Order: sequence, then C-alpha cells, then structure tokens
Amino acid sequence: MKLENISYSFSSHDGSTVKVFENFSLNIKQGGVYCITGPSGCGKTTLLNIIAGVLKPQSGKVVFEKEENGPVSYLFQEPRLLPWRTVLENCNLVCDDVFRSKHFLELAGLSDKAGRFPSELSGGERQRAAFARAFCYKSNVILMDEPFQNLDENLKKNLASVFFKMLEEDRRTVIWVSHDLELAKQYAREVIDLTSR
Amino acid sequence: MDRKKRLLISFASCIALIFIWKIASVMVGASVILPSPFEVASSVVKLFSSPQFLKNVGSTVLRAFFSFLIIFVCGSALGTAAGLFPALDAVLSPFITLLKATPVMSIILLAFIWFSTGTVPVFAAFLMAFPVMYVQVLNGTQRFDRKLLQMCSVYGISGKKYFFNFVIPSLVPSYVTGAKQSLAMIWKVVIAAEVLTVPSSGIGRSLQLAQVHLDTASVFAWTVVAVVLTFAGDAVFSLIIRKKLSGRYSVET
Repeated sequence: MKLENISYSFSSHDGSTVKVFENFSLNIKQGGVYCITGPSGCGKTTLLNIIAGVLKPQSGKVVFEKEENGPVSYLFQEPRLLPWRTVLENCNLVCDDVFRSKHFLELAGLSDKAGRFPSELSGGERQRAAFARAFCYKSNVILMDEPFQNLDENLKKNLASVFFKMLEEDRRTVIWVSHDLELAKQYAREVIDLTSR
Repeated sequence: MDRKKRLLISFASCIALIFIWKIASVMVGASVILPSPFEVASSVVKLFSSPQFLKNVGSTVLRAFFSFLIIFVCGSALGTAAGLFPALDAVLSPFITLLKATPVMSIILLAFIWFSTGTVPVFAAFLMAFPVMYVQVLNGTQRFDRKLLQMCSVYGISGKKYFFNFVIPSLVPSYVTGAKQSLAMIWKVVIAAEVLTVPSSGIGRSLQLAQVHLDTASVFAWTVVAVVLTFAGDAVFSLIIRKKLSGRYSVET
C-alpha cells in the first residue's frame, strides 16, 4: 500500500486553516505491522481515516496493492459494538458467516460469551469482541486507533497478545496508532514517527 | 435521595393531600360541590360493582388502544422516514406545526361534525397525539450515535442491514418515549371527546352523565378510574423497558 503525496487540511474554529499533511508519502509493505506514533494532534487518527476512506485528502491518493484492494477493518479506541446485538450478531453483521464469526470468537477467547450482549461483558472482553469483528470482516488491512489505550498494564499486554496471536492465524497488513513505544517495538515491524515528517 | 426515602415522602404527601381534601369538604359542607374522600372511595367501590362499569371502561380502553396503534405505526414510520429523507420532513413540517397549535376542543368539535360519536375520540386522539410521536422519532434520528455511524460506514453496513441493525434499534428509545407520551395524551383526549360527544358507552360519557345528575362523587370516582388507567399504561411501558430494553437501549424508565 502506498500513500502518495497526501495533503490534508481543515478550517479551525477561528477560521484559520490547519495543515495536517502536506505532500506526505508512505510505503506500507503487505502483511507488515506498522506503528504510527507522534504527539497528540499530529494527525495519526486523520491518517487512518484517510486510509479508511472516511476522510478525503485535498490532494494525493492511497494506492492499495492488488491483493490489498478492498475494504479495511478498523479498530477504534472504543470497541463500538452495537449494544442491541449479541457478540456473535455483531460479528455476523460484517461477514454473514456464522462459522467464520465463531472461529474468530474462539481465537479471541469468547466462544462462551458469543450469545451475550456487549453490556454483559467486561471492558477487555468487549475489546476482544471488536478484534473478532475486525478479523471476521474480509479485509486485507486492519487499522488500529489506540485500541489498548486507557487500560491497565496487564490488560493492555494481554489484549495485545490476543490480537497478535489472531494476526498470526490470519495475516493482514496492520497500521497501528499508538503512544506506547514499548508495545510498539515488541510487535511492530516499523515505527513511523509523525513528528519527524 | 434513595428510592425508599423518596417513596416514603411521596406516600406522606398523598396522605397530606387526602387530609387537606377532607378538611376542605367539611368546610364546604356540601357533597354536591366537594364530596369527601370517603364518599368518593365508596362511589369507586359502587362503580366497580355496577354492571355497566366494564362496558364503559372497555369502550374507552378500546378507543385509546385503537388510537394508540394507529399513532404508533404512523408516527414511527413517518418520523423515521422524515429523519432519513429531509424532503419528507419539509413536506410534513407545516402540518405538524398546524396540528400542534390547534386547540383540542376545535378538533373534537370539527370531528363531531364529520364523524359518528364513537369515531370522534379516535380521530381527535390521532390528530392530537400523532405530532408527539412523530416529533420524538424525528428528533431521535438526529441523535444517532456518530461513533457507531462511523463504524457502520467503515464496515460497509448499508441498505437493509443498516436500517434493521442500526436505524431501528437506535430509535427504540424514541419509539418508547414517543409511545409513552402519546398514550398519556390519548387518554385525556379520548375521555374529553367522549364527554363532548356522549357515545353509547365510555368513561367520558359516564363523567358527563354524572355531572348532569349533579353526582359529584361519581365524577370524582370516574376521574380516579381515568387516572388509574393512565398510570397502568405508564407502568406497562416501565415494565417493558426494565425487562426487555434496559442495558441495551438508553431508555428512561
């Protein structure tokens, strides 16, 4: 995947234009885990949203490789599960395949919680259900916007280990926004610091 | 304040109200003007044992239920559609504003000219309570969770899937609140329309007849029945919310 000469700016409340990216380019190798880091407000989430197609850059483009061409899975800071659907239904919604959903729920360690509603799960379980949904979705790229943020150290390590084990089972390109350099160095193939761009 | 303390204060307030009522009735000294709480209570007991009681209550409940059903279906469908298609909202908006501004008595009297006595309460209730349901649902469409909306867009949840898995469940709190509010209004309008049109049976008809015969205790007793029905409707909604919706939908009980 390539980001070619991306420029993105927006108007702030006082009417001035804030440039987030100007002719920004990036090469992402298929199947790699890339960690994007940098200070708050430097455009990490904006970058993910541009790749996901949620935001359109003013110029430049995102070019997917042939195998990657297609939808992307997105793991947000919060699980963003539909509260009125069970965990299994949340997964089915993105793939229409019960066996696939059950398989990834098993990998996420949630086989016994498939019939539960998100409100009946702990915070960590909800995030694992979001992982399962991201893998159920037939995509070649997973975007992660600090899904391990605001968690205690043990839970953070546990969730990261669950996610990367799932990734070993079903290899995809991962672009991961994180502040946690220690965790990033442990799992990422490359750490890209947006401060130095 | 905890629930127990709150209930205790509310109970004490009711006892105080009955006490003040008793003193006032003694001071007035004429049950035609203000019967005592005990006269009203005995009148309620008498009503329950009367053979016409169930027929009168049943007729009002049926009219209210029928109005509610039409309002719920039309208000939910049109409110949802208008939220998703702003052009429809623009078309319906003047009619809704007009209905909200029209006095209930004007609608009842006009309906009395156009329809048979039994139909007037249903028609009047529809015109008065439909805007309540419609506006609640329409406002609900403007309060969709933006984060879930973005999740649906990223994961390609669209069309029928989007409608049945996101739109409808997101609007459940609005459907329930709209239904609760419109039902409370339906009771009042149906009974008011029955008072004015005097159909063959109904609480409003009984209220009107009691008033004509200067049977003030019966007027109070039928009012108690109407209030109990309103509370019962509200309680049914609270039960549905507690048993079926809480935890998944942000519905106020």
